[in-house]
Amino acid sequence: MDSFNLIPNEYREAQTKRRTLINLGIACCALLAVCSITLSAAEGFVVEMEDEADQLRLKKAVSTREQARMTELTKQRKTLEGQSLLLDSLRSGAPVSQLIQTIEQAVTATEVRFVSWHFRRSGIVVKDDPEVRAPSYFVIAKTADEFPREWHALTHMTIHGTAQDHAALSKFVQRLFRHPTVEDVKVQRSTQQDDGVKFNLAVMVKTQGSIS
Amino acid sequence: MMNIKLPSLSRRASEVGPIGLEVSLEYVHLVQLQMESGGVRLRACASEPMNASFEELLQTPAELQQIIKRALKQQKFKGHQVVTSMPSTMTRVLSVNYELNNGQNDAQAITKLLLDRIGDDLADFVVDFMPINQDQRVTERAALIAMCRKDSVNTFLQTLNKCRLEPVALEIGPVAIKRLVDSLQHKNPFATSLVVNCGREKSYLTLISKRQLLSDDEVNFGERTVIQRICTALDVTADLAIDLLANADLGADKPDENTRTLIEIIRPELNELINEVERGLVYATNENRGQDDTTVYLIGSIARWSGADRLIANILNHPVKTIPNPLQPFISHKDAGNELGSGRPELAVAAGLALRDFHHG
Repeated sequence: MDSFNLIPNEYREAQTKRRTLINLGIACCALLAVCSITLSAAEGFVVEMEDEADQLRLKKAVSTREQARMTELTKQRKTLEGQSLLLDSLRSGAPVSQLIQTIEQAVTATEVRFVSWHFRRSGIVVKDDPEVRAPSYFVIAKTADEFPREWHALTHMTIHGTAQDHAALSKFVQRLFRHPTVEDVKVQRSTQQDDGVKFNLAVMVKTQGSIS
Repeated sequence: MMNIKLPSLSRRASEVGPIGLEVSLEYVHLVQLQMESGGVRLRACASEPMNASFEELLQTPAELQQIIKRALKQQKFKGHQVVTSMPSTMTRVLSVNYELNNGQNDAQAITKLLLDRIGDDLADFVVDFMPINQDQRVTERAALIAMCRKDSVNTFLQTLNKCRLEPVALEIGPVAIKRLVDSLQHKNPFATSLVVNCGREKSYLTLISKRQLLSDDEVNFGERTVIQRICTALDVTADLAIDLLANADLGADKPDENTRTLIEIIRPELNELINEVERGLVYATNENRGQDDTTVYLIGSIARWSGADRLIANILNHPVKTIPNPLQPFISHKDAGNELGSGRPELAVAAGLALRDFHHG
């Protein structure tokens, strides 16, 4: 020991505690400062993220709306495409000359005579015709049993004529059935008269839609 | 200029040491040293007068605080660490012999010794001790004990804290003087020195041998008593008496009439000091096993009297040296002519305190 030191131990301990407290205080302040900086930085980051999320949500909403619109449009397109296809099908079919030729082949010169015929092709708008409901493309019958429902969309021909007898009419119908372009034949009305059997006949012609 | 080479240096180059702070009877002295160019150099020193005694200022710490702050502002002191000492008037230094019994260590033996002498009041004191010539093989020991009232110490330390100073050591004056003398006599570090530190009211004889502090004795001799005697004898004012003393060459081979008169006037007072110095020299010779190679150093107010060392040496028939400026070894060339270089003898204790971190031994 080279020198005296009269500083009391209690004072040294108090000084050590004081220094520790000061250091602790400084450390706390530093920590607080770091926390504040981090918090404000995090707050800024969160605000930025929220803004970004809002923008994304906005974009998502727009995207959802557009998707819904897209779905709707796709559906609409499909419907329209279907309708277009159906229309194309309905508009197509055998040429009138072929139909006449078909019927002529089925007719025997002495047995069946035609008074008149009407040809209806679907998709043709007919004004002031009670059998046509504008602006529908389809031909509508007055009564439900006059035409089968499936005929509404089909091309058909109505024939008025006179047959020698019922057997001749039956033979004529059978010949029509045998023809590949005829889908169906319905005798709407037949009446035995003096000059023979008067009849109304509907002939359904096959189209591309009905063939497929 | 004398450059000192210290035995060992505990501080790195260019480091600033603690501030040495001494509160004397009339002044607060501050000294700060630093490592510079491989040697210890003076950085700053200041003295600030006190308008009351230290004991009185401890009752009004704010006033003491202002005095210390004023002193600190005088020059560029650096740092907050301070090595200080309690004034000699408030410190008791005892030289005691004791014996180690039943596996006691030195601290336990000294505590028991002091309890026997002082009793329960010992708790009111701060005590530290320094063994003298300690030989581990013998149980009979000697130590120098320093003690001071705890409340005074605490008040002083708190006052220093309020000045934003951090006390790292609270020493006693003789230890600081020993450190200074060690630094001065580095060529013969184991020499014996008797330092006469002369104050205004009292003087102190500090005996240092083989780098150890052996004793510190108070002597009833002070500058004020000498001045008073001259005033009475010549019927002059104190200022004139001081001038007469300052202008006289007390150590002249053939002194003039005035000087002879002065010497005759102060001789009775001086004899009291010389008797104590002789006693110290006898003790030193005894400690040195009959070898009489003790150097007597004069510091403090007596060091300002021209030729005082030669006068005392003639009376004692023993070599006496003056340390007129204790800061002289630490003054660099650039400070030699300025205020920093004009040190004063009363700065010896503050210089010794400032040396604490630069001195091992």
